Amino acid sequence: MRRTLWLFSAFLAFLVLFAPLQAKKESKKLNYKMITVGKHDDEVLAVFVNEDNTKVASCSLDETIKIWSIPEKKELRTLKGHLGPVNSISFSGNDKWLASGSNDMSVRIWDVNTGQQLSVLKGHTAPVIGVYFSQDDSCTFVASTSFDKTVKLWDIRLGSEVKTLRGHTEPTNNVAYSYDGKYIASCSDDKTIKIWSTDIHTKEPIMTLLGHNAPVLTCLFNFESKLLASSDMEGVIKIWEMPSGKLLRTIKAHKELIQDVSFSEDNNIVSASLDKTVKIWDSKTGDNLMTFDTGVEIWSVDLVSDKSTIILGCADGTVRFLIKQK
Amino acid sequence: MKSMKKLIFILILIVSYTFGTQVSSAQLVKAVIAVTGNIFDAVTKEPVTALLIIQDENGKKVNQTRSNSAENGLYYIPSLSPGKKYFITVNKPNYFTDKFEIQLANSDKYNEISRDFLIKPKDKGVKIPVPVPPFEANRSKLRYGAAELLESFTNTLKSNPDVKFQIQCYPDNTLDKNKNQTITDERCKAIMDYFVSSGIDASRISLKGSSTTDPKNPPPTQKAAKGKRYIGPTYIVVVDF
Repeated sequence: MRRTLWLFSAFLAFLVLFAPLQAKKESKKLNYKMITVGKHDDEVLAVFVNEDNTKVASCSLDETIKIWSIPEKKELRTLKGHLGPVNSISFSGNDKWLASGSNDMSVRIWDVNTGQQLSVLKGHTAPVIGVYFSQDDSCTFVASTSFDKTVKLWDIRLGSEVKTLRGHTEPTNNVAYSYDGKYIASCSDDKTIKIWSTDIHTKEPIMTLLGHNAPVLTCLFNFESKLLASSDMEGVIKIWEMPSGKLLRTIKAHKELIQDVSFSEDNNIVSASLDKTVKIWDSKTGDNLMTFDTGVEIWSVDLVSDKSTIILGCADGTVRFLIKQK
Repeated sequence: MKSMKKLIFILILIVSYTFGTQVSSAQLVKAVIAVTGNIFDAVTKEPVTALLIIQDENGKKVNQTRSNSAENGLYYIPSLSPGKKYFITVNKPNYFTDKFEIQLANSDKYNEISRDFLIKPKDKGVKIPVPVPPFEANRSKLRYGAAELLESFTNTLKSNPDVKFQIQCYPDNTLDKNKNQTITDERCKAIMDYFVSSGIDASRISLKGSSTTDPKNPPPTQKAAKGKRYIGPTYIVVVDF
């Protein structure tokens, strides 16, 4: 009996002494320093890092898109052409093109290297809120969502929309292409996420994911297309197994709406919110690995896939980098 | 022997001709584009049944079809040629007749493209929203690109010279009623000046600015997600025709 008590006390002492050390080690791993890289003239609504992690694009209420060098931490060029706030941007999988969606109801395609506007895709009948380029080698398709409640798929070679997906009952907010090119996910003010086939002839949703209790603002596949993360107006993140659609985890992540989340290559999720914080989550356990108070409302987040740099699009117009400290 | 050679030659000719015809037919069958989509009411966003007349760029009628409100306003136009421009005129009683341009891409295979159209109801008192506000927040000058944003209304009003209409503008906030009245009056005037410069008779136009926000589409009272920044709505109201 005495021996058992002694062992139990030793175990408790171990926990008390070493657990904080372990936690400190973990938090030391994820220590970031924030720098401001540049500024738009108005709120930054989206940021998107390219495939080879060298460039990030940002778009803004000021109706422009800017492309930044991540290693040089400087602005490369400004793209102008939209006739309204630019709500969303996405690099193509081959990093040659950029798609953007705007309140002017158009989707535009840009040459990343020259900054030239290549095409204006018109067809939505309300502001375009989300765009996502296909990430396969051909990079032929762009998916877009709009307050007109539809999801549209555009063939950029034809310069036309090739299918319109209907099913959401409220405005659609954001859209994501799976990295394996098989699926499109869209989320909506109707509190659902719909999964669609990229096959041109299939127009009915494959499934509808239910579980959010507030408008769903974003959704995103991980690099293996096996997980889908979604976030909502009440600061909740949900993680879904794909392609089964099974809900794996719900995280009450932030105090305010989460407009954007992103995956790292090791399947951590980075979230940013109007509550001014950026957080990193372990998608397997739901544990919070890092919280960074930026002091500014954040609309959008993306990252270099190894988490060495996190890029923030902020409500004060700034584009900020969180740089991992060694 | 000579007649045998002749027979073989004729057979080769027949086979070549048949094969060649099949290939060119196959190419013809492949090289078409179909356009499909839905027709909705621009105010209610409800699907409508309407007549669609398709003309080529020389004005020659090439096809005619109907949308079906029972199938969410679905229409289907087959057999259009890649690389060509077409005009689709949408007709429905009690609606303005609207003409939409479609430029088809070059393609060597069959493609189906999608395009939705909104048509404007023609009823006295109906308020048709301008889908993208042609102003920046708290400004009364027409923004850069406003001509593109107002193009559909300019075309409708030019092709319906019997219609008298009113421009109605609502403010962006509830802060200062006097300032709001000034801004919305100026916004109405800016749109009227644009229409007049586009060839629409000023006598057809009346103006109504508002000091208070739109009761049917008020500004948000709490933090909104992106894309929902509020700019006071602009309407074109059908007064008489």
